[in-house]
Amino acid sequence: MRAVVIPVAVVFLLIAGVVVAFTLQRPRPADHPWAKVPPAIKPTDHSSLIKGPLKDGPSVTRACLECHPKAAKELMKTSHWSWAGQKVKLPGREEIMAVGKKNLINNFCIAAGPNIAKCSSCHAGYGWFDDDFDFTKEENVDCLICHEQTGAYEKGLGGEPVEGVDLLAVAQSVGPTTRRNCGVCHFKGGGGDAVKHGDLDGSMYHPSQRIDVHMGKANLNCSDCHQTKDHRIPGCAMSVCIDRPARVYCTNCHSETPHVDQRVNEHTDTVACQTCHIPRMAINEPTKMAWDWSTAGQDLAENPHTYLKKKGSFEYAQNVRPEYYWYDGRAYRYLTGDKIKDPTKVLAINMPIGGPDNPEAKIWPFKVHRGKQIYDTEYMHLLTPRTWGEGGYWTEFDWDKACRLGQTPEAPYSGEYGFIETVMYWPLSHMVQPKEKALQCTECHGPNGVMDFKALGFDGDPMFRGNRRVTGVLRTEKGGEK
Amino acid sequence: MRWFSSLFIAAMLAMSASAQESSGLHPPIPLLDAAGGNVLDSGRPVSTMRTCNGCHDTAYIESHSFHAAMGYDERTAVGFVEGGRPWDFSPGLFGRWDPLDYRYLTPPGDERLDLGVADWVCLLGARHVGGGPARTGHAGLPLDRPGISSDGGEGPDAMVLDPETGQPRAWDWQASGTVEMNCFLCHTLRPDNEARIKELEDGRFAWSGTATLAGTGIVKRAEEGWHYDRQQFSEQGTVDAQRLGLSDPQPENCGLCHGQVQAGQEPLQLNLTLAARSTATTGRVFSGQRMSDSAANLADKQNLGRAWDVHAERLVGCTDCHFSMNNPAFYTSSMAGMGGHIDFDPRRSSVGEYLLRPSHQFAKGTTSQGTTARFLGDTMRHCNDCHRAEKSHQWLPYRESHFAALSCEACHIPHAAAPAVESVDWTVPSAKGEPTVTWRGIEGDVNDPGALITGFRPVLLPRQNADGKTRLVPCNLVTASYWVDNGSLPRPVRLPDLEKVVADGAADRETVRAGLVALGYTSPEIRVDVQPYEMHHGVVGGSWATRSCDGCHAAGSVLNQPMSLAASLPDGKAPQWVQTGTLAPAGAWTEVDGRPVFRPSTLEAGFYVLGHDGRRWIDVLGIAMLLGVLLGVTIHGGLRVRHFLARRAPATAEEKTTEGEPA
Amino acid sequence: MSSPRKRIYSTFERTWHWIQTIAIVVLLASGFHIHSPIRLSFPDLHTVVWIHNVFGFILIANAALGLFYFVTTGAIRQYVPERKGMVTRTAAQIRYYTVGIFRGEPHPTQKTPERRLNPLQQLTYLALLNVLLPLQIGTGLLIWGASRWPQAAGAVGGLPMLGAVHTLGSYLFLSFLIAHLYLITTGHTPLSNLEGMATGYEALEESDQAVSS
Repeated sequence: MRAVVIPVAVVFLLIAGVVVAFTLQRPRPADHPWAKVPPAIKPTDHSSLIKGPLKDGPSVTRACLECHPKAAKELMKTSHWSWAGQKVKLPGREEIMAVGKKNLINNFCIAAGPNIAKCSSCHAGYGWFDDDFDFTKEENVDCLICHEQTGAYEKGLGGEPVEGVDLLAVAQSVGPTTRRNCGVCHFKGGGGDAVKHGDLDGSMYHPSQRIDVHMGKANLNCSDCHQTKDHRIPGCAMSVCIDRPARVYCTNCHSETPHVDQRVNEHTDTVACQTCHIPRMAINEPTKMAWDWSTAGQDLAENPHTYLKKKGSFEYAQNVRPEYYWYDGRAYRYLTGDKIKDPTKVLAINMPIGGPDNPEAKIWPFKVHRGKQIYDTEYMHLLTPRTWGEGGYWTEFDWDKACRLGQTPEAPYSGEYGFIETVMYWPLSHMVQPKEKALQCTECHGPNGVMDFKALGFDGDPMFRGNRRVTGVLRTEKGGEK
Repeated sequence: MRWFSSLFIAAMLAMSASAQESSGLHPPIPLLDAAGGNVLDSGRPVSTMRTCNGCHDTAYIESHSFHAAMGYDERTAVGFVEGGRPWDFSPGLFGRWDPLDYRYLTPPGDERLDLGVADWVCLLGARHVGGGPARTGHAGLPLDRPGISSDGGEGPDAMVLDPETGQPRAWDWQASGTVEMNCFLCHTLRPDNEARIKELEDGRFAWSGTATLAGTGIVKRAEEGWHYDRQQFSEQGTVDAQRLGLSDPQPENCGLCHGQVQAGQEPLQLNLTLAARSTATTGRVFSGQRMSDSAANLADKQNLGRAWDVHAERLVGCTDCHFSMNNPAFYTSSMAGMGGHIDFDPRRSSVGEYLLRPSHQFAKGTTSQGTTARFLGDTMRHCNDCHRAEKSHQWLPYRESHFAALSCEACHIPHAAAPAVESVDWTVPSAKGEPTVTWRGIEGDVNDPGALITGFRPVLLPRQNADGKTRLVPCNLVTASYWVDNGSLPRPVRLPDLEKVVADGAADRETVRAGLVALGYTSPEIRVDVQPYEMHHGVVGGSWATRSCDGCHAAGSVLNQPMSLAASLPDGKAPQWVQTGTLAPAGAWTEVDGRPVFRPSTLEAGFYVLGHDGRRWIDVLGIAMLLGVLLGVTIHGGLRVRHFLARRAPATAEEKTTEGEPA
Repeated sequence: MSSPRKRIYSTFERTWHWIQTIAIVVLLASGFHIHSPIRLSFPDLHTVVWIHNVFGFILIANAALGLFYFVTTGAIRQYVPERKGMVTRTAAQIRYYTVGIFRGEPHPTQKTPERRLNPLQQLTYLALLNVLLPLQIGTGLLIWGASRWPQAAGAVGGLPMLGAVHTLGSYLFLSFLIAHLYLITTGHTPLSNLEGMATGYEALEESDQAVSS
């Protein structure tokens, strides 16, 4: 028997050897980003699990908690509930505090605080009409806004479901979150579709490949990148999130040096992926670029893209180049009550931290929103006027009254007000384009490039002058051989 | 050694780039006229030779510039230009006839005057930077010298053909002036080429340099000549270098004569005219813009996410490879005579020395169409001076074999992005004296911006390279059909004569011939020649290059795809190659779908392409052998079966007693 | 007619033969595809070349193993023609194929485990294994290595020569294959040779054995 086995085995081993040797020669496919995309969650049909009648929001939540007892507790730890981040030492400051939508000022609708009953229609909870809202009551959590799939659910004042919503049908439709669940709030930031972010708008519900490669070509959902655990959704909008908590990075799925061309890979040390792969923002829907509150209250011709009596004058832009600044993932933030040093200068409400000498910083694309908003000329801080509701500016067009009603202990109102130019920076991460549409060399470098290298702290175009390590701008240890 | 030289190059490149950014280094200059006075005082045309001579040796520059000489200093006896046509007398624009221009610069001593020097400047000066023969004519003496018509006699220096009478008449060089070498055309950022060309066409030669500055606001067109705007000058009568826009030559400057170049973000619009000459002849567009972002109506446009030229996209400009021969920032690794043991010669002249006497001979390759300045052949930076192809082609099987048989361009210019001229037929011109021109790579009329642009696949022809190896290079073929009078001095028939014949009612080749004979041409004959234009621009990066094995290694290989020559050839005449340079086209003139084509043959060119080139006789022999074996086996087997049956049959027959054994 | 079944081929010999068969068939198919590709999108040329290379090396490895086996076991003697009476026996074999086979005459050369090849087979295999196979292996290796060792390929005329010879060789191989397939049927019964190579045991012509010996 052995006489048979041995020669046959030798022959087959040899053949196997040849095949293996040749197979090893063939290039193997690199790690593919798809491997990092979580498998789709199979929805459970809840129509037989939830029984009516459901008279209001909290009764829906109670029904949910019967089977998902930890869900509310988990959500209540997140900023979707608290509208404030974790307590951190703020960059560039001594304070350790939690900041968020709840207590910050921006240069769109200015402040949520005095208008909370209106603003909380995007809060994942029920009944936030005023400061008395109970943040500890589990039944106040709104499960539906993120999980309902009918599309017929709508929230009104205080975050309560509006009249006429069939809560039973809505509750029975629940499933894993979809683009629409996220988009219903996040695409409409600033009071309308496409207004605030520049990279998030209604075109992202069903984007074509031209709008976004991840969602248009690869058909990803928001949660495929914002991979959620225990209701904690990673991600960070610089306006409200000024440190580096759980962010979503391109490198979660892609290699740090994914390009075929080594010279392009050399860029990833200095240039964020977004810079080249989001060559333009607001591709389909115009986004608000400037908002001047000081012209509000006049009876001029109204046009939602240029002037409204309630809000003042605007500028919109579509399919525009972003602006480019250094950003290391942290930001300076104007906090309510901070003093204004020079009202003739533009006040940065937030500003990315970083520079060429900061090894963590990369050049990022930003939507820059320029505003002109109300401040206290006596106390020298930004004011938080009440705009919506009784006595608010939108009803009475009286700034004095609006500020009086909207003032907070941190930012009291003296009775004297003026308008100051402000600016906000919004880093872009969505509407990503594939390599065929990404920035090319000539778009940044050379005589026709859009990148202002001198303003970014280089001594000239780094294609010719050398990068920040070569020119000695960045002198970190790791830079030695780079 | 390599890393050192590349570091050095990088450093020098950086130097030159920074110089380009800060033209602030250049001092303000007075604009001087030909007499050396400030033009603000005289109001006369700017003389670049005077103005720039303050710091730069303009006489040296003019005498060391093929761009000025245009072959003037390489003239031969008529008909003795290597690879040229029988009436060429120089390898350059001044003396080499081009069927795309048609008009023939008449050499001194010819009986029939076609183009005098003045007419040559009017018609072809648009593609000449000036100086050289535009100042001195055939005789090498200033054309605006007093009494030229007497001492220049009836020759082409003094005379032009009057379009009205069809007879020669004297040109007033005193009034027109001559064309100086136009520094502004290449060394300012926004030269007004249209204004310059208008001056040339209108015979105001001396003003052409001044007109080039029209875009700067320094000069404005006036009733007579041009007016200088004193506001733009300093109190000392000088003008700021930045206002002039003085600069290193940018690709756009080169593009004014050498085909379409675009650097800005504006959507590119294709300029498909014979004036954008290198685009017309090779379909090349030098622009870093993505094709999908252009304004051209390209087929499959949304998938053309590549730049028109990868080098333009990577900001490698014209002068980076075609540099001045004594520019200290550049070195030529193709430099001969290094003895083999030295890779890099770091010694070079100082920047100051260079700026005083910069050679305006520019490094170049050797293309079939660029017959000019042969003495500068292969001085330019080649692909392998910058690229280490063996490093980036690890994936390619038979790398060495491919590198030995293919130019880089063969795969990296797989497709001409823009249309190019296919044929030009002058045998029956239109009433306006225009030829019938056909283009390839466009569906519809070339003047229709809505016509679909498909581009075209170049034909691959073997070319003898400087290293002695024969490699395939991509080419466009331009077929020209025209009348030649094969008298004692063969010359193309003059266009004014053709126009006259056409105006007299000739509408086909027979009547044109009769008309020409009536005009005194003894034996007009149609000549059909094919000029290959090598393609070296419009390069694509690796992911867009030819990569599929089957593209070449298959029966339908692109390597022997035919290229059409024209809709038809006059009288089915066989064409002849002209000015092939170092190309050695191997293949056959034939017909495909009724169109005359050239079909290249790799086997004839000495290549053996697996999967494509087989020795025909081996296949014939092999298949014959196979058939023989099959036949033998079948017959043998058949006989066996038959005999087997036969042997069995008697037994069966005995039983059945019916049938006998088959015969 | 009773047919005693004798063991003709050892297990190794049969394994060797069938691997060689598979390798040759695959090499012929892929080789002719490379030589003149049928324009199919799959398999693409790259893959076919890869297959051809893999099976080429399998063939080489198998041939080397076989050579080792035949030399060490002495089985190689099967392939060496006996000089004595060679001409007569060859003539007899030719006569058999041209005349005798049709008349149902017995094989002039009796197939035995010790001598299973007839003189014509011996001559054929002599040419096949000593000339054609090494030629194909040699030209194939040089073509495969033309990029790595261009001088080696260049020394024998480069790809144009190697390609031509290799192609010619493969036509010869294919011709042999067809003749071989046909001649399988000329055994004791049309299928007995095939059976022998498949199982190792073959029904031999017993009665004729007595005649010839």
